[in-house]
Amino acid sequence: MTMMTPNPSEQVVSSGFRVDVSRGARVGRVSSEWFSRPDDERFLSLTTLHDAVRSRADRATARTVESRAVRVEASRDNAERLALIVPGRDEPVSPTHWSFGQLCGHPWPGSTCNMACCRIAPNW
Amino acid sequence: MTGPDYGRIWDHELVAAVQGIAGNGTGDTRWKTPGVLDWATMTHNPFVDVTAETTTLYASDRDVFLFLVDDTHPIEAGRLADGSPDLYFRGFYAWNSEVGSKTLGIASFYLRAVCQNRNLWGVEGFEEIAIRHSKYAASRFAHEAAPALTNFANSSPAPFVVGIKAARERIVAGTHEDRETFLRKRGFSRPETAKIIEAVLNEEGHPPESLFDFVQGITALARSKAHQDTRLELEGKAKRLLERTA
Repeated sequence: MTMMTPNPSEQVVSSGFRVDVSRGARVGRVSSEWFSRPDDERFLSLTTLHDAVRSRADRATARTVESRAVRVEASRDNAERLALIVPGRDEPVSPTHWSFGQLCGHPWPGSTCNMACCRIAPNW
Repeated sequence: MTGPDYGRIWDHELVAAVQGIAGNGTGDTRWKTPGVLDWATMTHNPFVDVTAETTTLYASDRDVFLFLVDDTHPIEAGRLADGSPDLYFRGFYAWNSEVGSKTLGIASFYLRAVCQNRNLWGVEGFEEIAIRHSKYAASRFAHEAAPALTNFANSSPAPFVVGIKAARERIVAGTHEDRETFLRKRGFSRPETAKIIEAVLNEEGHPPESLFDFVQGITALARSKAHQDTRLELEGKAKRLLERTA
């Protein structure tokens, strides 16, 4: 192992170094992320990861709408597809899996929409 | 979908703050995705190719999670029982969700190794800041979390090393009775006291004498606990003990 010593305690290494892992604490937080992430959530550099989340943000618009004005439209002509309509926009929105889950879990005042969504489209 | 008072911090803002310190995260700066511990030789090898299997940079449609280390610049903070250097390196992880799936947070620490399934081993000096996405979250991120991360990345390890050295030199117990009194006074039960002393005896080859020995014994007891709350409570006790010497 080649080592330079820029200050008394820090070393620069060019190969592996011996460690004693019986000391200190074990932290499993990163491991649980590592276990649960599918391939499309893994990035090989900060640049590619930044580009991915940046382009998502650039496409996003944030608006505050009343939750009672959000409509779910189902049609006999296309039973495969439910449309999610928010006020002030003609085209239906396409929620991500996560956002749709949020919507289903939302407490809708005086409505049973969340139950209906999940019943109609369990895998949507 | 979030409430009207949601204080959104975009994932790309956190990633940009981390890029400010770590560049591409691939070794163009000190900060990189970690190498891997080889259990056979008990060596941490920092020089491992970044692949989908080894990477610790994650983003989904709801969150980001980034883990980076400075494992090509290990720090010596004393010696092991056999006289070889006890080496640590710095690491941090940060997470955020721009759509309300979790808080924003940063944890910084020193560690000794990262194994193939990305468990962190030999962690010391763990600090964490978590920010809920309340109305003022963006300003807390800009004024608190981002500067804390930069400070950590640029800080000298000297105070940490001095703290560890002082704890090693501070002898607090010379006899078996001293050891029991030391631990019992700090709220450890009789069986816990026995386990802590035994852990140090097994790992260090001598019963606990210095403050650092006791800290190691308590963290060893913590590692044996399956329940996270119990483990965190014990690690908190060990940390407070170590901080008293600094």
